[in-house]
Amino acid sequence: MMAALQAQNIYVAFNGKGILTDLSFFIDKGKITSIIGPNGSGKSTLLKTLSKNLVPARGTVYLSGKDLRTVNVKELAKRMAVLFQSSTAPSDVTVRDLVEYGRYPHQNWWQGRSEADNDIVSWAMRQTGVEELADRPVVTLSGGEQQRAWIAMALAQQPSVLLLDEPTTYLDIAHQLEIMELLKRLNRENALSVVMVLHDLNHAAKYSDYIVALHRGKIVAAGSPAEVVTTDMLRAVFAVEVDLWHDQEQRPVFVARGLVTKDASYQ
Amino acid sequence: MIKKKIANAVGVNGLSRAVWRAVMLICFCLAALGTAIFSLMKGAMNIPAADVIQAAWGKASGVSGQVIWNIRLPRTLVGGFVGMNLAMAGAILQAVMRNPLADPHIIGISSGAGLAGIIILILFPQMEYLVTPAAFLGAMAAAILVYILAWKGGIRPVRIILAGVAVSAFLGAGISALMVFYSDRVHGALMWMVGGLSARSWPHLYIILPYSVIGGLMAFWYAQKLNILNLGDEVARSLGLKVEVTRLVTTAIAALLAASAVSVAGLLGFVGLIVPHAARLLVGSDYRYLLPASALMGMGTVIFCDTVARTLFAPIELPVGIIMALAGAPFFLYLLRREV
Repeated sequence: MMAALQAQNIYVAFNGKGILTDLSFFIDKGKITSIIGPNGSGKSTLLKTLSKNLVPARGTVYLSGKDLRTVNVKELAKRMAVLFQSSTAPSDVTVRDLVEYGRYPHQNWWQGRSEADNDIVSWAMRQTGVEELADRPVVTLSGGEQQRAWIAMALAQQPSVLLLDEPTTYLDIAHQLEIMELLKRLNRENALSVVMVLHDLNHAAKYSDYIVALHRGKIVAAGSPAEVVTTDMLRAVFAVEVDLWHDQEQRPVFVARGLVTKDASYQ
Repeated sequence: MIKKKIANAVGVNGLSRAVWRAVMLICFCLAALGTAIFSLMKGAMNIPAADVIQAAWGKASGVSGQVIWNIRLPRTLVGGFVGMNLAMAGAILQAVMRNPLADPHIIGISSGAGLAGIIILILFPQMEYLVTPAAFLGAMAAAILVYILAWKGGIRPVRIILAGVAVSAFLGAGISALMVFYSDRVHGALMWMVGGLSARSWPHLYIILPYSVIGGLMAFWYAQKLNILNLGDEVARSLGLKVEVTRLVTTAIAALLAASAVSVAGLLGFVGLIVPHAARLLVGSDYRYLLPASALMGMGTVIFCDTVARTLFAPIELPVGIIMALAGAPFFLYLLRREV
């Protein structure tokens, strides 16, 4: 099976310091993959590299088997949508305006919006439950509503891969779950591959098919939630001691007990 | 009341917003046309509107026809295109820099044109006919210099603004030095620095017109790309926009528009900063509407201010730049206090 996304020995450096060092991994089509890791481990850099916002100094990223360097930006936008943290729209852009911008990669200057575009925009708003908000300016919405509007824009691109950078930051617990459930449904119903950076490890464990743990620019664990989220990994990578058990689906759940004392974490 | 209308314009209901925008554009059109007719009527000799319309079609004869055809019509047209170019350049730069304070000054255009114009006017006064082309070259050179200084593996708005401030200060020092060393020759230069339209005629129109047409068309072509750019670099890129290329091309369009305007009218301030803000208040931030709205509003504003400038203390004529700044600064403060 061809990977939705594949990284092969990618190396990214800032000012001579390696942020990602010889990273390789493989993301299956139609799965939810979470990238976890402590602050400064290179998660956001990895997401930028996967979305061609950064070009690695060495190594290659493949999208459905195609070298990302050979895919032009417009072609890429039809296959991959990316949502970054804290995007802001001008104050009078409505939800519908925003979702219509999602059709931009599919449009040419000589043809305006088609009937098909309108259908896809309506579909995207229906999928994310923002139809009632269509004529409201995006900035007037609550955090959860805004996030759903941005996801609707991404859906309007009709991508096969959706990348998200911490989609639940700044949201309360109910809205966090709402976004995670939405992503899960989009993944199941539309065979959309979802790749996201997550800070909340319990969310990652509950919703992911596959988890990649980063530490100091290297992958230290990758696999199913039960394989990756373990007391050993949490102690080594995040330097926390936890009480961990498994729910009915055999997914790990944990509560942090405290910080690891210095000598126990590996350097 | 007005606030409610504005709220309508910028959201609430999709259909009413489209209607509102269309109505506003028609209003701007009529306003630009109205100020043009007003400007043709007023002056040392007042001419009735009916004669003005006849004369503008080249049908009137006699003194009023001569006055309109040889003096007022070309000046009004030059003023209109100067206003249009500066307002569009400002609107474009505000999107490109994602900064509401961006205007043609910020990319060094004014100081570049200023220094080049001053050099001609003060050092080579016998070659005054070179002021326009020299100012144009100066403006473009300064814009390119700012761009080169701001380039570091790509263009970031903040670096452009910082480079623009530095280049402006540097060139401004040159302007001040020349004015101090040749204080006896400053008068003509001063008029040009303030910005004015006196004695502008058909040749000036032929200079600015091609830039207005080409720059205007290219700006409209890029309207949707400017909308996408306004969502931020990362979002724009993920929507498939070539962010760097778009920023480079649209800045060049803005530079051409603004450079052609300052080269015929001198350093007219405030139009490029304020008109796009006022237009945005009325039609919203969608560049497919904002660009034509800014263009029409810029036309009307400069034509109107120039008419006031030349009739207020007749027979003494004020440079239109003074009227623009007098009216523009308070309005700008009003906008700032309202928005921030």
